[in-house]
Amino acid sequence: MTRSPGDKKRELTRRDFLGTTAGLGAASLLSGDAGARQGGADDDENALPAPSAARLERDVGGTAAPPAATGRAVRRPGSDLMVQLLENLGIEYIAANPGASFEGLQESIINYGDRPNEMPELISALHEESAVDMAHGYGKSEGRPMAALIHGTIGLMHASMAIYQAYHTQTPVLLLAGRDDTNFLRAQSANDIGGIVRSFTKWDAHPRSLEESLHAIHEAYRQATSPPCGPALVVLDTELQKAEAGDLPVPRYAPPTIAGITPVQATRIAERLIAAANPRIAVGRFRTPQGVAHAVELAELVGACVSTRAAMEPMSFPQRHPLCGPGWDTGYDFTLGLETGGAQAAVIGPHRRSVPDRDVTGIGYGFVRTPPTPIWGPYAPPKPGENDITADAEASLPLLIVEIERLRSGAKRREIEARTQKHAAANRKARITAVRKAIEERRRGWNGTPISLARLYTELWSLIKDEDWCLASPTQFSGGHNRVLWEHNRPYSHLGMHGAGGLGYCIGASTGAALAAKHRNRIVINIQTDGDLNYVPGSLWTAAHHRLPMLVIMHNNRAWHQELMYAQFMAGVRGRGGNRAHIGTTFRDPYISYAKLGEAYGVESEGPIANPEELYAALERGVRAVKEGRPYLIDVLTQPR
Amino acid sequence: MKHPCLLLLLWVAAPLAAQQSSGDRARGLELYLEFACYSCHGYNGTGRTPLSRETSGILGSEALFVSYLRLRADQNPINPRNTMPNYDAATLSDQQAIDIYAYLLSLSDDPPEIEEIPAFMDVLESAERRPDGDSSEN
Repeated sequence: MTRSPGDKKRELTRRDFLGTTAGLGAASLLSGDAGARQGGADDDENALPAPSAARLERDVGGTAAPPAATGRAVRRPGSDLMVQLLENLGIEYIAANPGASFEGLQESIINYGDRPNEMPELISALHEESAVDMAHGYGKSEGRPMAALIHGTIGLMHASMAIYQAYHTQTPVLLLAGRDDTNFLRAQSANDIGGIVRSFTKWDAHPRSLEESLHAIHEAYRQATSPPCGPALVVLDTELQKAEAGDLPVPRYAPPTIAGITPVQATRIAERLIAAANPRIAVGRFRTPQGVAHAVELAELVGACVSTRAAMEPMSFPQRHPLCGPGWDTGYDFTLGLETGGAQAAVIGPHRRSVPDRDVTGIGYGFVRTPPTPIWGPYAPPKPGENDITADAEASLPLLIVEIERLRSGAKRREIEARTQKHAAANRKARITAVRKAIEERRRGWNGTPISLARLYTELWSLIKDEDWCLASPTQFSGGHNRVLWEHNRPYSHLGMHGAGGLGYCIGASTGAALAAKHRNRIVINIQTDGDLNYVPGSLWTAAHHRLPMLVIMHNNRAWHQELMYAQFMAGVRGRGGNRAHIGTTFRDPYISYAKLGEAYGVESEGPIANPEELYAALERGVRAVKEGRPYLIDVLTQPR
Repeated sequence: MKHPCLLLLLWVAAPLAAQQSSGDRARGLELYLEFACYSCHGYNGTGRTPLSRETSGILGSEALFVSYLRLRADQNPINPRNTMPNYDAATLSDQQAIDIYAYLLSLSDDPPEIEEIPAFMDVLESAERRPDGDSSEN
């Protein structure tokens, strides 16, 4: 990561701090300069008299001069080694809501080394759920972990919702939890705090020595990034963070060996791809951008047309690659699936279902559960297709590419080149046809008030189409118009769904994506549903504080709209009408002002905007702000869906 | 649906009847909002499931519309849906349904042509742009 001098974190000056009355009072108390006044406070005739030194000692305590400094007991704290190890792993950020159980580690993050508070930089989160959501969004965007630092039992319970969702999206997240069993509230510690989230993490450890702690962080990183990827947790006792490390070295990281297909399997698949007159490749979601790059290389080598999930989730095939689309002939004679099934050969990595043994309590969350478990219909455990190969597709591609290159004869090359040309022309034509149909449908209600969601997506596309952007929010509740109107060509173009449909994810995950974007000249779009924002809106402050390029556009339909429709439907089938379905499902009386909420958290905001003629100019202002590195919020009153 | 044949008959006959209503349009607007019709059909009848008279097949006549409300929907589903709810006469009277119908007839969507919307032209231009690596001739 490179940082320009201008990126240096802002220091809070004394003048900044004294800019508030509360700051003034606190500063006076702490300095002991009881009579000191600054600025306008001098003119305040109602100011209370300053407390005497004796009164301060009585009321506050600990104000007496400290004893003369003596030699420090700990010269090389264990937490310094932990921070060095995180830097060596390339951990760019660590998000935390402060907690007493990791004070040692926090102090090392902000003070250790020649470049304190860089790699990782401490990100201030206002809630542990936000901290993990940020790591979730970052992990989806970059295909590698960001860390979240969590305080004891209570922090893990706050974080559990976000951990659960990262588990379901198989996103790598590094979780570090402080544990203080001796010096703090007993209720915030436990014998086995990892047990709180064990059923929906991939791996956890509670090391008993500093050396074990360092190895455990390495193993957590390996576990998080190996398929099935997911959140992995290390519990760090506070005394290990503060222990003298002596001459203990920081261990070297050994990356995991991820199993791909065997050489025999690679040869068979390569032969079939080369022999096919019209091969197709179906691409799901890879682990990292490297997988995407290799998939592009493979498709170009064999001249196969490709299907993609790029408009639905990250790390899939570029939507506007010339080979992406149905191709010139949909009569495919061999289909290769890469992290997706239903093909003549499908290479699919291990799924989160492969770790049900961690569900030691037998709770049976989500996809870990065993039948019978009705979830909207009879449960049918997924059965591997007869042609499925359980191996990580990304790890398999280099070997497959080598085999393809070996088999490509001169005549074959010419055939492939001709096929590629035909695919490119057909795919472009198909794209134009699909877009023409889509815009004809989305013309409806263009000038309607409140504002049509199709209009919102369309006008936003005009402004970002030439930018490097990441759409971080799920879009199914706002019509999903991006899927056909926008072009998702980068591994992070769209970060997909929540994971478990749990609201509150959107703003935190978008903030994490914006952390990834900050030093990469990228902007983040968050089309933010109103119900979701109200869970943990504090990430708005994080975005303002850390100057993140995140455009928040409120899809403000003043309701938990899905649930409004459910209640309405239920009342209908019971013959009780639908005129009371708004009770408990809408934000009325009073309406919520999201522009005021954004301003309160320090984010430049505007709205509500209900007039469609005012939308484009507002979006223009928002895009300009985020390109300059400032978060921006636009409250848009929208049609419900 | 209990009486599909009746609905089919009404549907076929609908074009024969003029689109007019004896209902109270203002009251229909109140009911449209009160019964949250907007939740699927939008405040202007142009939502996810469009309901303006240019686009909806159930607005052929008052009778067709009222029948649709009465006959629509599964009567006893186990799972929640967000499809069209059922409205029987006990919860939405014929007169109320006719008032809503009158309001729906007043809705009109006359959006600009695609060529008149610069943002759509941008989308189209992006689609027509030859992606990197595309050297195909047509």
